[in-house]
Amino acid sequence: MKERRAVVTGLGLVTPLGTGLGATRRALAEGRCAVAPATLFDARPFASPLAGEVHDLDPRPYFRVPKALKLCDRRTRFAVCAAAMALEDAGFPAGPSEGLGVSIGTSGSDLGAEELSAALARAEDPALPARDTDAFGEAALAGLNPLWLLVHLPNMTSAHVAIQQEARGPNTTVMTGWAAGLAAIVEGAAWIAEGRADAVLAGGADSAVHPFAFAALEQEGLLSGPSPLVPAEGAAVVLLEEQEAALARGARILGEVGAHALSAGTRLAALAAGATSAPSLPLERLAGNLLAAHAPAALVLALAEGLAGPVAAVATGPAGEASALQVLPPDRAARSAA
Amino acid sequence: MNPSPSEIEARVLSIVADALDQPAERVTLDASLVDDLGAESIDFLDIVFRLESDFGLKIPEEEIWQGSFDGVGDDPVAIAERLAQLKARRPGFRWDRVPDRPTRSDLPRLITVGTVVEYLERRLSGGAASPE
Repeated sequence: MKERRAVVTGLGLVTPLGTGLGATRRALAEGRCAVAPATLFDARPFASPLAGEVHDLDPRPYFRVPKALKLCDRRTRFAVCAAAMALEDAGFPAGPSEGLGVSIGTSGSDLGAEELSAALARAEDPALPARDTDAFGEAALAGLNPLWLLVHLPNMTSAHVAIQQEARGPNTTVMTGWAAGLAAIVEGAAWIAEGRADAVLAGGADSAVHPFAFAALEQEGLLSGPSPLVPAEGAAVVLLEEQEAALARGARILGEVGAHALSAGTRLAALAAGATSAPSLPLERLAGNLLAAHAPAALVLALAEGLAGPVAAVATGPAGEASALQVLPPDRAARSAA
Repeated sequence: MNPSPSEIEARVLSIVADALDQPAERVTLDASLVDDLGAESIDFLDIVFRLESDFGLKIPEEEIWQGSFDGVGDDPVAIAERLAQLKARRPGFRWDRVPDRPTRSDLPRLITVGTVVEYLERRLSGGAASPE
């Protein structure tokens, strides 16, 4: 089979600095800072209460079927918005598509902590569910909306992107921690190379602004010390397309996917080998660590600037998870198709 | 103290509108939850839970049916007879959309907002779950 290459044709971004690529870039250019004490929950008991929160996002315009909003947690809303933005940015034809896949990476979930607590507190003896699984089951079943689980299952993030965009190609949610978003883009490119999809909405979506994430980060010692991590939230999605199809429809090509690598529990240096340059991606300016969305967001910003040379995006996480992706400038993509 | 019929109706309309993301003016008593308001199976779970929470009741899901199709089973003749009764009780419903020989799987489409309101009125007034 003739080699199929994946090119990037669209970008979508939701960050604490702004809804959309344009808003985020403007905020970066103006040196704005979106780090502040968390408002989504009371984070004062933690070592650091700082967070990067997405504000003022109205997700409704990005939902073809707004009724699904009640089933979407924060990171899913970010993913659906960023995916819609990427498709529009690419000028990709709307409507059902058998060849359009979805591959989104994400890490943990807030599990609807508030809702879950409220349901358990309604048990006859509120302390009982904590030590008796039967009592837990009864209290949870009685007090929780049956849709609760559907809202928080991680695979629903990619599912909702596909539902809203009528993307009927392959669908997956990648869960390799902080490396997940970049790994999801690698997966999407592989689908195109293998002929499993002609286009893929790929990227990362996450929200770490909740008690479970703060507790986990604090346990790792990441919320204290001289430069504590700032948990944040957001989504970064690119549209990947098969190169010849993209050229045929006159798409604007931002870059071509080159070398890539995935791993867990290994050091990163070996993965980054093969990248010929690594520009200063503005990671530290993204208003906190977006976790699985972090590296994809940096990649989106780099592609938006325009590539002068190959760029390597690299993602690592505290469990040793890692992924790396190289993107080549579009000139080469156009030349190799000629 | 039990809520008045108009209060019951207002709360049901609000819950259905919210759960199905529909504007208030579309949520009429004759509106079919499925055909007019876009309800899917998970929406029925959602609506039942919200009604339970709002009215402080336990609502076994099949009870919303009662009064509509309790005891009918799969017998097409029995279904047709019960349909005729329903048509008489609910003339404003879009009966033209119901297949001539409805099967059990067609029945969810017949649940209207009014069906839900009537069910709650019966429950809250201490009456039986199904009429007469």
